[in-house]
Amino acid sequence: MSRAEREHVVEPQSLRPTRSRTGRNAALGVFERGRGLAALALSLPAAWALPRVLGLSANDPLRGTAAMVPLVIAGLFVVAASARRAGARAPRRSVVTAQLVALLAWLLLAAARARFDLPLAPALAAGLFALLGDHLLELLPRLRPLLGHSLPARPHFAFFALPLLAYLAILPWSTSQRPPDGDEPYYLLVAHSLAYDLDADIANNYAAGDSLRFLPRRLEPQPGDPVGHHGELYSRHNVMLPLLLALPYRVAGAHGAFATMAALAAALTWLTLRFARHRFAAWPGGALLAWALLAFTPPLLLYSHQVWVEVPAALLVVLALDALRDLATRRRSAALFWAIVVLLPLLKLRFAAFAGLLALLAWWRSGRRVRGLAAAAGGMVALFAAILAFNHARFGAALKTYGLEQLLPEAPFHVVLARFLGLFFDVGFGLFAAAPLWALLIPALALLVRRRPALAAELAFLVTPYLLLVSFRREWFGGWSPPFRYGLAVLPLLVLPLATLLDERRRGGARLLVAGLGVATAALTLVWLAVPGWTYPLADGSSWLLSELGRETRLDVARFFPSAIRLRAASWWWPLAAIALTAALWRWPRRPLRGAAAVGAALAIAAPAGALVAAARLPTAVVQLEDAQVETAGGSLQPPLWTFDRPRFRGAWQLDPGARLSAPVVAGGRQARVRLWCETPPGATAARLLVSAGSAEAPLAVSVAAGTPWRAFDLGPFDWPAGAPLILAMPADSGPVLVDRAELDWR
Amino acid sequence: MSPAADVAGSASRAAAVGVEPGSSDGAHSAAKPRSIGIASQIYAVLPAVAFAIGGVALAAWQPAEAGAETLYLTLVGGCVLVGAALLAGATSSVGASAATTAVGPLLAALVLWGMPAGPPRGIAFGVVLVASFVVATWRRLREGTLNGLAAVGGALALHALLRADELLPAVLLASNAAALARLLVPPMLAGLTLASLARRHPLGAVLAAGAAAALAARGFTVTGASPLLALAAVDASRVWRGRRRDASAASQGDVEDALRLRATLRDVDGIAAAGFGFALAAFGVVRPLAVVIAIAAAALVALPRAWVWIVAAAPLVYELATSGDAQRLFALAALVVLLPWAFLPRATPVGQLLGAVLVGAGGALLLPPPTGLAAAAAALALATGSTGIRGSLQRGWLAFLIAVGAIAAGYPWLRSQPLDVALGSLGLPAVSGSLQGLVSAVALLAAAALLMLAAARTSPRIASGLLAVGLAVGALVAMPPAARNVAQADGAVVRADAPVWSAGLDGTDVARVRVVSTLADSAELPAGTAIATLSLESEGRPLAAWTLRAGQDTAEWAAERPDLRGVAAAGPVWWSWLPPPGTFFAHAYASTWRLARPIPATDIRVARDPALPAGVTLSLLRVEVSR
Repeated sequence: MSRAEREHVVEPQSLRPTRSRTGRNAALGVFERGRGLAALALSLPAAWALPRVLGLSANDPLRGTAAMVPLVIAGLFVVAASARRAGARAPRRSVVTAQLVALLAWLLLAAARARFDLPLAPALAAGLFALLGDHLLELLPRLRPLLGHSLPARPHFAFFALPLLAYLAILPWSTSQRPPDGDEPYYLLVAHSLAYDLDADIANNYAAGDSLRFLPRRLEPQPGDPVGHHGELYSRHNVMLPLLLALPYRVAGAHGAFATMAALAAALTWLTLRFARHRFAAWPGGALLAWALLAFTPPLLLYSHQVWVEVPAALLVVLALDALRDLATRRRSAALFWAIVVLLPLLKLRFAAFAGLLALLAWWRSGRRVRGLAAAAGGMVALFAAILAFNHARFGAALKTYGLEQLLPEAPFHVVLARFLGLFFDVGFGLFAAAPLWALLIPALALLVRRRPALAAELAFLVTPYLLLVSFRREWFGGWSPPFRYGLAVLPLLVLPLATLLDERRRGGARLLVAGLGVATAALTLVWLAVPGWTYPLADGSSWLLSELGRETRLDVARFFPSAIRLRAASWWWPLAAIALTAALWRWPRRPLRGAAAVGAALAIAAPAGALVAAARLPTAVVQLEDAQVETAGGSLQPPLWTFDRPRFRGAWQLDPGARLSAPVVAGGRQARVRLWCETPPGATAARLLVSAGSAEAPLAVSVAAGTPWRAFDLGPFDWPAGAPLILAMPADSGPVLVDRAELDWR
Repeated sequence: MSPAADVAGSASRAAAVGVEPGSSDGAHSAAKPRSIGIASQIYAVLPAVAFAIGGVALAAWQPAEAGAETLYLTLVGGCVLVGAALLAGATSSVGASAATTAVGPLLAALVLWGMPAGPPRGIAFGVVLVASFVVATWRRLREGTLNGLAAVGGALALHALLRADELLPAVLLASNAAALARLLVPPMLAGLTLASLARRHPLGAVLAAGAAAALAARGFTVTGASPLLALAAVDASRVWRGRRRDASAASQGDVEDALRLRATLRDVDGIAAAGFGFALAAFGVVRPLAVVIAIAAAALVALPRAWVWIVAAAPLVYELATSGDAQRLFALAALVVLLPWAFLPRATPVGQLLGAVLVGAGGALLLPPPTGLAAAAAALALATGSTGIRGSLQRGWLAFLIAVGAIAAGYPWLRSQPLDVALGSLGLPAVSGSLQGLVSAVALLAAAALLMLAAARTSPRIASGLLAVGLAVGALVAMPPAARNVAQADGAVVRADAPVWSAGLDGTDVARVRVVSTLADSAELPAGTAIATLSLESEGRPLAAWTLRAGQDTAEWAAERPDLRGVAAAGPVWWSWLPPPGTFFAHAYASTWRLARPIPATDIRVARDPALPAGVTLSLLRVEVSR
């Protein structure tokens, strides 16, 4: 349907009440508001009583989640009533009844779990979140009338409240299962210092163990934290976010800070929907689905309550772009825009990239006058100079812990390209790995480039430089964090092209794609929510899911998935295949297909089996000896797991005297040559390593001289019986050796 | 429902499935819609099939211990999910249907792949399967029609849930074709008969009949399926005869007379069919008597109405006269427990109620309770009105029984009387325990009457809410208190060279002790042999002591292994698991002791009985204390 045609489509339901109905509706509205307030008021004592009625003890993992249930139900009731008054359709009564019965059953199961001490808390949490998701899916299409024919400038309150309720629902479980991690506790400690000491010096807070208020351990300073002239200890993280969180922290502790972050994330989704009206106003249905994708799937769902600067940055970027439209006509917009340009680098110096891009965009939009450009450039330079000068004066280093060289490219082009692709495709940290439904971005961007090249260029201007800047860094993946951390700031911009795409979702291929990716996203989302610890990958070219699967089945499944940390063939062919497949499927076949959704869902459910079969059938080319599927007896992982900036080093297994490794191998021929990458640890004596194909074969010995740096040792050819593992053994009289990987050349 | 309305209802339902009622031309004229429906239903099962493929692949590469369990769960899950997908069907909206039918397989796959092997995974898996089945049934009820494929799917799913212990892949692979047929054919026949009945009876009543029969007989075994088969056969014959009379009357211009005639036929045939089915079910138990009953029941079709009660009462009279075991009649309480709303005033025509009770009495006397009540329950459910609040409450109650019963009947709980477990979850006595079951029946009848009263005074919605909340509160109250496990996480072993195990308590009051344990190498021990003494102590001074006995408090873990089955004493099973190669279920057993009043204990001690053979090992998996 063309846009012109679309504008003549008559919505089935009027949004505006007729004059004759207004009076009665007003009375009804007052009554329903009263009911809503009563529900909210009742939910507070219910939240207190419910865990006690269920018999959940103080340390029960589901206690907080159960307490949140009445509050979320009351909130959903209020939001649904409010949305109905504004024209939304009511959810089907039968479905809501069934969901209430399911909730009742869930509460009983939670009580039974506690009484019988069954290790089922994660499964029950996943069940509750699945129920919540089901309810949201029921509500979603019924909110469509709220957006009318054209996206409104002020979307209904429901578009803020529903995400907020979802974020609050998952908050107690997530924070109890995964206390603040990565940079989060440092932001919280600064917030604590600001709230209680009214300063940013956290030396006393480290000493007093204030982190024990929100962590089960005492925090220690991060490497390279700046030290003041009088011995003050500062965090290397900027103080903007802790400033925002200080008051809620003071009022409600860490949970106040988490709830504030959840409110910011919900506000981000609302603002994105509001911002979409500028360029996608004629696609309200698609915009609604795109909003839902942003709000209710990872990565935003995972970050919703977490204390990182990325969500506030994304919020500021969307606010700035929204204000940019009226920059020339409204002073308030201009003030807001330039305030944000100043705030972004203060939030995190990395976001100076956005400040610069926004300033350039403002100049471009305002007639491209040289004087304007000079003023903007001057202002930006002054801002950066002020920040650097302040840092230098306060912390003794303009870039705090960073050096200029860290901001410049340090890797060859193909590595930077792999990292750029890895932001989306990487099995541990990529956007598509976290929530495969985001892979619809590929056909969406293709569609945007084809139909609206100017808009595509504008989006690329805002997104690509920042992502490239991130790709230059060795820590492009975000460090110890959930996936797509650095990309989160541009996520609202990435979601916008989906609005037009999702309007065509009823095509046969599109339905198959949406169903398949949707089922995979639902499954992964439940896993991430149920086991929040699995959202922090180890930056070892795999993910927790694949590592656990490899350990269980003793198959190297991870080798078929793309990684930008451990480059392999899949790092390249997977993006190419995904781009071709998604783009082609979206276009073909065009006519609706019966059963396409079921086929898509079935393919997604059977996909892990396909990966297992492939891992068991396709010949092994490389064995990474520190991987989960390798059976080890003796020795240790090197460098140790919690080494700072671990990707600097080759991941390896140190074979100590008497140690033995057995790596499963799928034979690709009768014979194989083996190339081993070895190193002797500093100060160690010479090593002698025995290598064999299975325990029945005679081993070949490799001698590694003391002080050998990383180098390859070629062995073989070995006669390789089918199913035989690669076995590495160290005699008891040998020195230790580090082995990175074995490459197999089949004959 | 008036006969005219019944006819209209049948016609509308028939029209909804695209088949003209009673017309051989109907099938032909509706050929195109049916082919689309079948294609949609095939699509609907694809996610379940994908789940099964994934499960088989996972089992193939898992370690043997986990693989055996995965394969078993895959088989049970595949049966239930495919059945539920067929039951839910692709009815109104293809997209929505696909989304709904994909949820069950998706969650089941998540549990299968995401959780470590062991009983907790079995519990989570069972909950997902039961939820999938209940949702599918709910969708079918909302749709209001039932075709053969959906009914067969639903029957297979319910049978797999209630008879999950019979679906061990390693055992099935070694079975012959006849054994497999015995497993598959009865539920398929039951499904087809339910679909046949649904063409002439309200869907709610038909599903209630199927659920009641399956609950009583623990699945659609021969006992569960035969009554339904008989009901459907006689129902079809009634329609056939009615149509002949209709044609005859219509030719004489007297349609009202024909409809009246058809209505009177129903009363007779329902009971006759139930009796016939019961006879079929009892065939394997008491062959000569069953043959007599079968012939008599079949003859009822042609007999005058008054003969029905005489023939239906015949087994009761016969059994009372010959054995006089009137105690077994208390098992009739299960009929009230299954269908309490059928026994309220004005719910069921007195004649049909009496007939069902008589058939039930025969069943109770001849077959173990509550299995013998399947025929009576099915007939009564069909005879009782399924509309309005009474029908809704009845269906809600049966759904609760099926949900709890199916979880109890599936791995790892493996209870042979799921109906009793469902009642136990509400704190009610078991109906298979004869006299005690009367308490359950009376309590449920009173609750049903109160709910009907509430519905009459307020609204049906409030009554339904009261039912749901009442069940939840009942289950919550009946649950045991939260307990503290004082044994090590991986358990403790008491054997000849380490005959005593003890653990410190914090001196707080103890009112209840529960021990979950197993015995090894104890197959030769007779039931009642003292295994160990468990005592609560304070500063070394014993305060209370119990004896742990084989067959009463604990038993051999491998008692179900083919070479030990029937040899080792059976114990109170609490927990089961599936050791490789997956040919039998291993059990852990639980025993609970309650003190008359709480005592402050500082230690708990388990001492092995010195007279026990040296090779016997007692494994304490959990030792729980609570106030």
